Amino acid sequence: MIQIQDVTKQFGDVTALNHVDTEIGEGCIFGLVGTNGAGKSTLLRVAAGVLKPDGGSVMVDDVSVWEEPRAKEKICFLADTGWFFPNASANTMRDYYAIVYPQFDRARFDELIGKFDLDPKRKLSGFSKGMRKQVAVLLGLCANTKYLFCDETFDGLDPVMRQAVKSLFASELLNREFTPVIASHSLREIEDICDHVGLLHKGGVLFARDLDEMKLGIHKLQCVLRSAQFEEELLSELEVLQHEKRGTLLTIVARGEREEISAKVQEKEPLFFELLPLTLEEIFISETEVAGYDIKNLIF
Amino acid sequence: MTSRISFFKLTIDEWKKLGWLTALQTLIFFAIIPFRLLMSLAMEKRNGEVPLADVLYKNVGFDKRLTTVTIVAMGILCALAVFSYLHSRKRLDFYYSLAIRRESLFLVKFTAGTLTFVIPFLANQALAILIGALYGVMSAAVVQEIVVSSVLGDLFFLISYSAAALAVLLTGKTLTSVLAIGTISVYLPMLWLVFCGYQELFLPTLIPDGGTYLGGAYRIYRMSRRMMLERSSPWVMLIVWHPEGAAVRSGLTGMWPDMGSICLFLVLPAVLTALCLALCRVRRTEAAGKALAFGWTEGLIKILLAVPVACMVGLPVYEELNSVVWEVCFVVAFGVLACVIMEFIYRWDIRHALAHKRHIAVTVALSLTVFLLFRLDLSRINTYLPEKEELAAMSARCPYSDFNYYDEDGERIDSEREILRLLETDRIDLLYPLAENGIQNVREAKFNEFVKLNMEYRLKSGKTVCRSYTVDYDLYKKAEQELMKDEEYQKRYYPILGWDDAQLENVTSAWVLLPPEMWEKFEQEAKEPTANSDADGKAAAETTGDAEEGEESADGAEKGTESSVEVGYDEYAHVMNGMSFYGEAGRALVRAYQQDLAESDGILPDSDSVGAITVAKKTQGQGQELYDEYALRSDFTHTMEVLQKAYTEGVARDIG
Repeated sequence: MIQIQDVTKQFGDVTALNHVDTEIGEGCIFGLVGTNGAGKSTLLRVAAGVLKPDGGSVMVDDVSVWEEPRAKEKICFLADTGWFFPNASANTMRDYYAIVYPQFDRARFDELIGKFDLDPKRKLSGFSKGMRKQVAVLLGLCANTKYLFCDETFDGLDPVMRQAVKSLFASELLNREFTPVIASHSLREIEDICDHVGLLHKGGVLFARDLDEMKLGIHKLQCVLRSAQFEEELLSELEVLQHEKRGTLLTIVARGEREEISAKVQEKEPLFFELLPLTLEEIFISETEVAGYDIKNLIF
Repeated sequence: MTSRISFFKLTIDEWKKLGWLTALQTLIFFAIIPFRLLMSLAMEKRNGEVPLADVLYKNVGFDKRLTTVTIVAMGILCALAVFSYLHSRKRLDFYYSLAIRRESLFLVKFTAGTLTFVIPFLANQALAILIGALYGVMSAAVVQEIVVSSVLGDLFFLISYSAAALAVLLTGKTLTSVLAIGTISVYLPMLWLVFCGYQELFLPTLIPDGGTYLGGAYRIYRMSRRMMLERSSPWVMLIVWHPEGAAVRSGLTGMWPDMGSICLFLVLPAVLTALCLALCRVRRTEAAGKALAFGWTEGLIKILLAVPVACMVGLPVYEELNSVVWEVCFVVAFGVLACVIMEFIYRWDIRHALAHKRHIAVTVALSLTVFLLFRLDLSRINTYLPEKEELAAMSARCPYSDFNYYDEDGERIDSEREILRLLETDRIDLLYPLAENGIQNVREAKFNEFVKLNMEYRLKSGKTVCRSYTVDYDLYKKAEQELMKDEEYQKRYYPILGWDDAQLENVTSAWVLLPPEMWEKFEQEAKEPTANSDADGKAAAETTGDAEEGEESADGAEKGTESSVEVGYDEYAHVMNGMSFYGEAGRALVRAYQQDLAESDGILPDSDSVGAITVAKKTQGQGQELYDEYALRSDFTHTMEVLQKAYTEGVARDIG
């Protein structure tokens, strides 16, 4: 488990992380989302032991990560601006990773690089951005570390590759102790991959929850009721996160059990009623509004 | 190390990745060591003018400046290349996320970088030995010297490399690393230059070894002059280094390094590397990309650089304009400009050039304080004058006299302060007006048509203060004449008067330098026998014999053992000529001079000098020749007689 305790980090006058407290459990795929400048990269760099926090600490399996090889050997960090040696090929990087990550699985890397149809001897500088990200992800996976930190790593991957990587992650989760932490500014891109999500905003964690739990606990419904009085009664009876009325069509995002919400709407004998699936984006918009943030300032 | 990463494997891998650096150094050292040696030996073997062994000695081993400079340059290049990861956020994200401590990573890189030098350097040194052996000029002694010089070269590299690594660690960009290395190299010499300039222009009364100036700090500063100029940076130190000390022995290829230097070269890289490791620990990752790694140093470095620059500008402006208002304007302007340039280097954004106005304010304030302190003599160094009642003794002497003073043990006194102490007199009534006059002249900036005097005040409290003044000639002449009436003082002032024949037994030569009218008079005397002299006057004559008694001795007599006089002149004989007196002839000249000097009222500088005699004598027991120069006055009749006679006879002998 990774415990981030009261972590603060400042760059000059800018507070990148402001007393961040969160936990990343083992065996899940943790998504760290937030706007540009929210502090995602900083949090990952602090968690990877790259940056020293100004305050607080990051514990990896109860060992402080700062300048502690015992903790850092459990982590592989793939930075947003991934770096490869000049003139390096995938094989060159594989050899280096094999030195710095003693558990590195060379055979698996060779197998995966073939499956992804990447030339292991070709210079990486000649690869496309997406191909380089694929190599980076494969290197990270084959490092066989318990935790894999991916900073914006999936942003350049096409949907097919994202699915492939998701499958790889799933496979790793099944076969060994593995906890990937994926930071991204795009909710849509990590929605497919992550099962836990933490939202960072202005250097602080707004919340961190299980994605399914969030989806189960929040629902979107559309209905047409007979009178304005029914509408007001319904809005007061439900735990409304967001609502909008266009013409006679009332759209509500509310917290609660599906059955409970349906029953309350049916009591009002609606002319029209249906429950709609919520996207992660909508869940976040709702949650952040509840947390008191103006949605207009959070551009996903 | 708790990390499971293999230090050895990582080092070898890093070294492989620096293959280009190894190749470059192999090529460079091959060119300047074995290839150069091979070419030199091949050429000399064909020419046969210089022994091949000498060619070998000239190209390998100790004291090879080109090799030293190259090693120093390679040290800097390697550090900039190897530790460039410290300036890149991308690379730091990669390296610092690895399960290896930063210090260990630094050591891995450090070792790999060292290997890129050591392997090519030693291989090329070995190649040089092989080439020497192939030409049959290699000996065990030379091999030994090459081996020691190789070790020395490695140490030089480590010093240059670790010092440059320190510069890289202290900065966040390669550009600022290069600037830092350059700045560190020239900073102390620049400070020294500014200080010397200020002293020269604004503190003309200061005697360089004045001792008590600034409460002794000045003496410390003088003592540290070498440190400031020759050891201003590790790189400068290595380039100008040469073995020192009595124990230094000469080898076939150059001087063996002295023990002190070896110790220094062993300790210095260890200290520098330890500093680097300490910095690794405290240096933040986010320093990458910034001009300086430690933000708090920005203002300090800016001020430390900008203040001397601003102060330095005051010097040429003072010389050209001599206006306090303009000088202040320039000092302020350049102080601000230096801050602006520094800020631009820090931010690389002209819009922020005027940021940190507090730094600018401090720079301007400090620059003006230093400048005005010297310019207006706010510390009253130039105008210092104790009350008469406070004084126990005073002394004065013209610093342009070239004669020497000796202590009781016969050791020459080099310190002006010590000399002034030797010449102390209680005739304060005579010397005090000279000091007053000197201070007045400083105030009025009068420096021409005066006599330069070094003076000492010894206060009743025991404190001594030395100053240098320009004093009115007539005033000094009057005081000097009075002082010279005291025979004891005269003997102290002119050491030559205290010499007897026993001390002068090793007088070897004397020469004169006379004005045109004197030569015309001399030539007139010699006119008759030289009517058919060489048309262009180009000749040299040697006359042997006692100058006074005219006794001849054999030509070619060994100088210093026989009594002889050499007369040399040329077509400019009426302007300058010289005579050398040996043995008894020399002693006779000195006796005549002593007689003249004792009868005179002292030799006043410049105005009443018509020439000079230079006396060489050996110091007792040391076999070392010392040269004293004494001014010659036209009314020194005994001396002139000897000179004229020697000259006349010399010319006559030349014609004969």
